[in-house]
Amino acid sequence: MIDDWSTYAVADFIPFTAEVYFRLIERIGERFWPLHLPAIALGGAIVWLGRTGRTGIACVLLAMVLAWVAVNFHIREYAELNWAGIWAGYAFLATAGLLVLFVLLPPARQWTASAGSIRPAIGLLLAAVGLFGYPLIAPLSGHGWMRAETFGIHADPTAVVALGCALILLRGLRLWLVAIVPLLWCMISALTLHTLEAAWAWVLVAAIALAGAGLIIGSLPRRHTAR
Amino acid sequence: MPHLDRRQMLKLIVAGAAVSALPAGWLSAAPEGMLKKPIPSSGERIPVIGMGTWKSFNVGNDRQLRLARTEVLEEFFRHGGGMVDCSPMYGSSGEVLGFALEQLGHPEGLFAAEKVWTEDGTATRKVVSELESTWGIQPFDLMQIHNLVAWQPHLEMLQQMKAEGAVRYIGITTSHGRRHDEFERVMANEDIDFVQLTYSITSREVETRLLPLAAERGIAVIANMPYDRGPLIKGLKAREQVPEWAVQEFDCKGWADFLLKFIVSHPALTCAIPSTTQVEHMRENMLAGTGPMPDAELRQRMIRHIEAL
Repeated sequence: MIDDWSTYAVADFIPFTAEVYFRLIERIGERFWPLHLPAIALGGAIVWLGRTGRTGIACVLLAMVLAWVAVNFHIREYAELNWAGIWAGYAFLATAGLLVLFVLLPPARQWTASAGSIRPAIGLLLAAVGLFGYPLIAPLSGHGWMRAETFGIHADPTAVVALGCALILLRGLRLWLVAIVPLLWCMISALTLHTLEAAWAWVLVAAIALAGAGLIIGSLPRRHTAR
Repeated sequence: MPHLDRRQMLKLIVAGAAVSALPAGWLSAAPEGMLKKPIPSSGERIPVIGMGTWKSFNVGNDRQLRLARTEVLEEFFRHGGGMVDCSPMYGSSGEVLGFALEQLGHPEGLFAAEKVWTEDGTATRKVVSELESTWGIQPFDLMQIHNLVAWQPHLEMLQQMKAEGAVRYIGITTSHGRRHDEFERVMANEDIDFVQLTYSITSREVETRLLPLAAERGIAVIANMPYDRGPLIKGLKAREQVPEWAVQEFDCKGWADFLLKFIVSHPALTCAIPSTTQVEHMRENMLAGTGPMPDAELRQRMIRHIEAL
């Protein structure tokens, strides 16, 4: 349905106004309050489980959160405003499915991340930004707390935390497979926020850059130590 | 009686002569003051200012915003508005229109325009039927093929539906200058009532081929994106006052007046469809359909003025 791409602007793909989008964020926040607090605690638990080697349960919990956001944010709410939202929901569901699949199939030590590298440190930073930094953006920008976007409730912080957790929990091809959808969502959302003139679009751009660095580092061949 | 100087009197005489030279019914004022132009294929006259819904009416199931948009629509009809245009591409806009029309008791004067937007060329009837349910109306006044998507099978079916009375008029749409060659071929060879395209004081590509062809083929023309996605009027309002000569020459009341009158005063244009989320902006848009219109010479001056900014 799309031809002659040069005639399109980003705004042509965003079929709503800033007022409507941020009202959606607020309404979702109101609907699920006070689930925000246990959701943040759950995010912290996923990171802790990952850092302490319990990768399988961490992956399953992250998959549950991604599936919840896919249904309750993308498919039930965002898709009302943007017909493409349903595809974003399916993509989040597919990522959740992949996480569960990775737990069910091979032994965990073959695919989980090793401790002590830079990549998990980047993951930890991203998870901290998504869990604790992102909810502060709205109040610091002069909006009410109900506008605050939270992991497990709204898509943007969930995607940032998912990237962080993927960097902590996974490596190799599986890391890329799990990271691709949150990374794409962060790109789409950064463009959306920029078009809607939201100053905090740069937070997502920074998250993309950090995650990109983590993914590249995670793909580099391991150094062999001399015997 | 207001005093008229020699220049003003001369202009009045020239304007009178120009209007008398136009085909009967080309431009006429509704009782409310809103100017109307005829649809060439039927002679039915519709108000020159309609309403688009891209972005502005896509508010989802947010009741507070739905009620706010209902007020915008109410203002539209209060000023004698007619054409309301939507598309399945615009998210929840159709549902919001259905809600607002129900709240307003389905006002008389509505000229409901929708679009078929699917690659499935066999789904035309199904799509139209779903849209009728969404809006709560039947039949649509105008059903268009959005951006020429699968236009051959859709057009064939829409022509059949028009013959059956399931839609009153049919047409095709494009925007931002896309696929004009194919658009022109459809206009030249197919039996359609309307075309919808982008035309504004800063986007005038259609003046060379498509507008003359529409006039020649007797096709009504709807101008979308009259404010070039919005920044045009926002920028003008923020930086400039309308020129004094525009106030004197055609009683220009503001930039909405300036930009919309430029569009609807083109002889081939039938209707412009600005969209807004604000009652006040709707009022400004609708006032542009009233009062004197710029003539060809003034339209050139308007272009020069905007280009010089």
